[in-house]
Amino acid sequence: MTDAGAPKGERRRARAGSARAGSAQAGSAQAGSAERAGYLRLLSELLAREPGPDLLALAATVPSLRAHATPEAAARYTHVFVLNAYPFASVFVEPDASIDGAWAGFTRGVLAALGLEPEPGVAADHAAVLLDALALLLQREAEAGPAELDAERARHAQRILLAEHLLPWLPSFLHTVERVDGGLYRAAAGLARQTLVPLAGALFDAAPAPAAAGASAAAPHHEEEGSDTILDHLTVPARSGLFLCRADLTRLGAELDLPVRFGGRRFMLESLVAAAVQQASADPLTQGLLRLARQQRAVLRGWSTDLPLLEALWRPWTRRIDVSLAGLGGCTFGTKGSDYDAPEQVTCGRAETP
Amino acid sequence: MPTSNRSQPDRPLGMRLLDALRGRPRRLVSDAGPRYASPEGHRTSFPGPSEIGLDSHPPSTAWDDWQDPVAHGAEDGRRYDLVPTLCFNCESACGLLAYIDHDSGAIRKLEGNPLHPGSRGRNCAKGPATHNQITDPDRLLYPLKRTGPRGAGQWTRVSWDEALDDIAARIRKDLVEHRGRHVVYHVGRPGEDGFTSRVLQAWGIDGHNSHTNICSSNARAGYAFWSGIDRPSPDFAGADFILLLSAHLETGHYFNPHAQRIVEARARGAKVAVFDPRLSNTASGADLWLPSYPGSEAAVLLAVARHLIVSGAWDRDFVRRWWNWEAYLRAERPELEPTFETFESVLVELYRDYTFAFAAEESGVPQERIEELAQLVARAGTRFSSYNWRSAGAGNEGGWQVARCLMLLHALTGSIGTPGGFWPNSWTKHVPAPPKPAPGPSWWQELHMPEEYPLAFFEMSYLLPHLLRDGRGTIDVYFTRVYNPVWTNPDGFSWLEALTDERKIGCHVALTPTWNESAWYADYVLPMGHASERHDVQSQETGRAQWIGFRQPVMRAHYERTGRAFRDTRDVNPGEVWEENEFWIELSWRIDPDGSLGIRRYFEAPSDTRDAGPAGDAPAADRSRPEPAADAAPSGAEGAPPADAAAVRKMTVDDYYGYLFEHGVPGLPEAAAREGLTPLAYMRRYGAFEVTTEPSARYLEEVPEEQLTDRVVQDGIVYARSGGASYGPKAEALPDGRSPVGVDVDGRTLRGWPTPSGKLEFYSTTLRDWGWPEFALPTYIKSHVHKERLGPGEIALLPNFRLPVQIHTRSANSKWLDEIAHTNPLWMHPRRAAELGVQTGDLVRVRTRIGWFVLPAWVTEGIRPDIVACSHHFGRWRLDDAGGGNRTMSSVVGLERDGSTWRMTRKHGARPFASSDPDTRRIWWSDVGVHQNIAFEVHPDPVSGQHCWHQAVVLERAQPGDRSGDIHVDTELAHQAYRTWLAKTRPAHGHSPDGTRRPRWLPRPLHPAAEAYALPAEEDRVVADD
Repeated sequence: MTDAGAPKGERRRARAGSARAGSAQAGSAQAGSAERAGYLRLLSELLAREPGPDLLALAATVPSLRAHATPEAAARYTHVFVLNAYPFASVFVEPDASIDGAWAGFTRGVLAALGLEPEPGVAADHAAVLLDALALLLQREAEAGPAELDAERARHAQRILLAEHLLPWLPSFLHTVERVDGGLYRAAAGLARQTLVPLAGALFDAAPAPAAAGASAAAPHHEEEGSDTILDHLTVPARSGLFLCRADLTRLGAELDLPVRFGGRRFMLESLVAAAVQQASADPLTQGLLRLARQQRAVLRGWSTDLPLLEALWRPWTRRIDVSLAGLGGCTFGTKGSDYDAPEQVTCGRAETP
Repeated sequence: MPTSNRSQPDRPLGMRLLDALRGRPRRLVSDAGPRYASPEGHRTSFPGPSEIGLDSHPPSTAWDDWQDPVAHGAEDGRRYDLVPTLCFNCESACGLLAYIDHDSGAIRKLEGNPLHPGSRGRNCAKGPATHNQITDPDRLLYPLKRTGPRGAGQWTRVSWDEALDDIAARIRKDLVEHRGRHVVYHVGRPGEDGFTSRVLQAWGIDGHNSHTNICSSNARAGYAFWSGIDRPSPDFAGADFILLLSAHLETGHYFNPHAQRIVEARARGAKVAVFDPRLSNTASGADLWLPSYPGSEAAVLLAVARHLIVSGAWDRDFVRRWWNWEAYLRAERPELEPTFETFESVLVELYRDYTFAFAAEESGVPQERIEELAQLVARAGTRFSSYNWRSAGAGNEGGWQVARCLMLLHALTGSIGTPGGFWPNSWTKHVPAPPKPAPGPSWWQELHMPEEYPLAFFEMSYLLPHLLRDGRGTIDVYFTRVYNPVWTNPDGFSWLEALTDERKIGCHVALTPTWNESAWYADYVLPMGHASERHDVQSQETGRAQWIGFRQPVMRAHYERTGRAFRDTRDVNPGEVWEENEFWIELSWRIDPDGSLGIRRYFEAPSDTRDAGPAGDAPAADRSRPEPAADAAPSGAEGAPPADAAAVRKMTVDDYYGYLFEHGVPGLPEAAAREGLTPLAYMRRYGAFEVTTEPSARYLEEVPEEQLTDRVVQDGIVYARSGGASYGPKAEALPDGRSPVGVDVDGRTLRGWPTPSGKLEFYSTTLRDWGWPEFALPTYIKSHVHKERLGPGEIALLPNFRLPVQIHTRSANSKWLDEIAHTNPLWMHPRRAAELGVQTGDLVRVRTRIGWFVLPAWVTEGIRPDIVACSHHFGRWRLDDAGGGNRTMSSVVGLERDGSTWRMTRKHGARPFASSDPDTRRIWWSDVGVHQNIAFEVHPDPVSGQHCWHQAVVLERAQPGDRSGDIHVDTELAHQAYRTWLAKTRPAHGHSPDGTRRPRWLPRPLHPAAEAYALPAEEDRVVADD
């Protein structure tokens, strides 16, 4: 009941607090928090909507963004975030890659519990919202009074937000941005990484418990005839560990000289496979997909190298990619019909080795 | 902390960015300030490891002034007073927290109380739906008195004083002239531990009539014949294997507190097996589903027992120490040497025929699945938990043997009082002793416990119309409380006939928060509060712990916190809604205003010197009370103050509960003192208290040396002169005055079990001695719906399954629940539907042995092909378009009577209506189901008294003109059926071994004094008059 001793979380905070209380570093740590909050605020603004002149002017004060802070570069916002690199955690963690589902609700609940209230109508799991929320928690830390406990509470909340809501999917998202864009947003993705890696490195002195981020690593079912399972698998990050954006598929098609029909990612992939089978390019297509998968695995390993204590956050994702690599490697695409205008005719042959 | 000098040129870039962005008009996220510095340390609802010091419940430190950030946002400024209470929509007594708006004083919502040890902040749908009930536009707000003929629906509003004086005068007259033999209190859901029983005891009447016989008699009998304790309390959380004889995980007794513990066990890897002939949600989620034919469960359990015995997977030492095997050998196998080794071989022989093949044949469950069940039980050892309450037991004649056979598995494996095992409920429930306890009544109410049912658990409540019709007695004042016999019981038309006959029932007082079918046939309808409007103390066995919960009128606590005055609960409840406890105290004072009947003393405020023992100066054992003169009249009549009124003060609920919490709950006064509170204030603030998380397995307790003066051992029972044990063998004292204090087990004196032998009674000498020797051992009784006992064309109907969002008759006034579930079609397998030529939605006429009813079919593969089923919650009705029922969930019907033939026809179902609640205009459903129970005959089990719910029915396609909800019944056939079942009994006269009506050791809710147990002489018998 109420008179039972301090709860576990309270004890941990108190311990951490006493270790740091009165430390000469406290002030500079708080100053560092305020500075990181500024970068995160700017990134949040850049990701939230296409930036206008005043924001571009502010972005131009940041050396790594300066060369790209032009209206032309900014105008790629729709191409980058609306058509390709979807900035929602849900896309990465929901079992069907849908947005505005249970995950967004959980995120809103956690933010509300932290006293952070996203604007009405804004998806709580949008990267811009989460970066802004993180910035606010850094500001809380920076502005905490002499009570070290308050600053530690804010840091604890930052850990939660990072480990459970941002870091599991952000590397894949940022890498997608970097694949899609060569200008302002690519530079912003780099700035995000430069800000978050040292922040996380300073915050975590132990590995967090593994978060329940997304679906389990399900292997594609090759037992069934038809391509549905493998195509569904490849286009749902929570299953494959991969994020294949439209630009990835368009680029693959261009490399193999295959026509790609524009539509949803699943539809585009299906039409690409059908075309590849028609034109005897199925193997090169598989190789292209394998290459993308390996690239994305390498990105996650890079984050793990930078933040070894947080390696467990990405382990499920790299494992899923491993499963996808194995599945793709053992899969032989074919078609039942002879016309790629009927992409539902795509088949996926039995895997030799799972 | 860094100072902010925004013009500082060397200020770091990030900070300059922050400064620059501070002024931007739009920000995605706003900071409402840190929240939830929770002392309880609960987590968010986020399914990750958010050990965030956050809380999905408001911390108790903030309950006086809570701003709800999740629901309303910070800026709306709504602030709440949070007051705990207990849910009253089922038996679990889960914790609720009422959100009382600071400004309007309105209760905005009810959510879970995170400090409640049983429910731990979680609720099922019925908890939050309490809000529907307190804002129900159809609820009763004022006392009503009948003005026309009973049942005609003519009412006038009266004052509480008028109602109290009239009822008190009638009761007083009966007490004076007939010792209160014509006063009956008939309770559905008690929802409290002891208050009302104490009232009836104070009045000196055997007036308690309960709903138990339509609910749990079979389960209780099966457990009690083994152990003396009639209810299970499994430690699910610690179990490795869980066996549920029902859809318990989703709907059973205590399902919310139990489900969360079962889920915890499963997360650890525990396996769950479920007996259920329907593919319920519980069955579909089980590791092992046993869709056994109804009534065959005991056969399956005995096959498991046989497997344990022949494979040696039983705890030999536990059986040797704790079974009464010696009594069995002595009585039944005197030719054998009375050693345990002999018993072992006899045991194998006894269950030789219960093979897996036999069980598969009886149950229709594949043999391999039964074998798998047996292996799961064997592997779990002492971490084997189970639950059996209404489902299998309540359905079948002989269903009490289901509990007895299930208990056999626990008794074989020694999984009793162990972590993860079976616990009897009295070890995990705490019932505090009340102030001024009153002795039990000194006479026996024949209408409750007729001599044909000497072993019944408990009162034969649903037979009342037939007992009245047979001339076994009459009732002058009949209280129904949270009880709707017309709708809930079988054979409701016989109830209508009894309730409308003023010669049989002089005055019917319905104590109810809401209209129901029976209240319509009352003389007084007195509005009583819902969960957040009444006082009760309740403890339930929801796990391996003991807790006590406090139900309270939350507005009363709110008034106290905010310094507002009130006289009693009526002042804080809506309209003139009251609560029973204050009502009983007031009524008792008006029955005995001058104390001459010896009643008033029990309702005077306890004082330091008078409160600990029984009322007045009488010692507990003294059951005497003043015998009033026949012409005694109350000296305080007409409201004049009694002569000695100044000397005594009327007991208040604060007096009662203040005493209870101060003296009756170990550890509570200390916990309260640590917070600077009185125990009562502590309970008003937090709503619950955990008495212990380490309950004792009481049978293993060593009897202390000081209780063993002059110790002697007879038949394994230890007797001593010091006595005084409240727990132990239920043997009679020795002629030399020594009392039983425990049992001798391998030379040690342990408390043992509250049975005649002090041991677990594998062999029930009680059943043997009271005329049922063939059932003295755990065995299999073929149900009345066993295929061998069905007539031509008959099929078994399962009418007794619950749905998770409704509860009997209590929840119909909850619009949210009604929207989710409001009708009860007939579950039917496609094969059966094809034979009958019906599809889902087609009407079916279900013919029982006393009539028929019409309802739509629901064709589903989720049921055995050889049965049909219909949920029992629905089919509520009213006779008046504008009133007399919950309009969200009842249809308006017409009733026609022609002699003993009754016909009910539906005029219309639910439909939208204008009211204070705009939602009632949005009612989109009309079908509210069929009142199937009213077409059922009574099926009293001849041993336990349980109404055996399953029905043998004939299915027909509906006839032209049939409408859903139509019902036809002949009450003469119903009475004949009652006679048929009565003939199966073995009455106390002729079977009692000792001239008593009932074994004294068997429990009763209200235990009469010893002298009341003597059977009347043959010429004074009250039996059926043929």
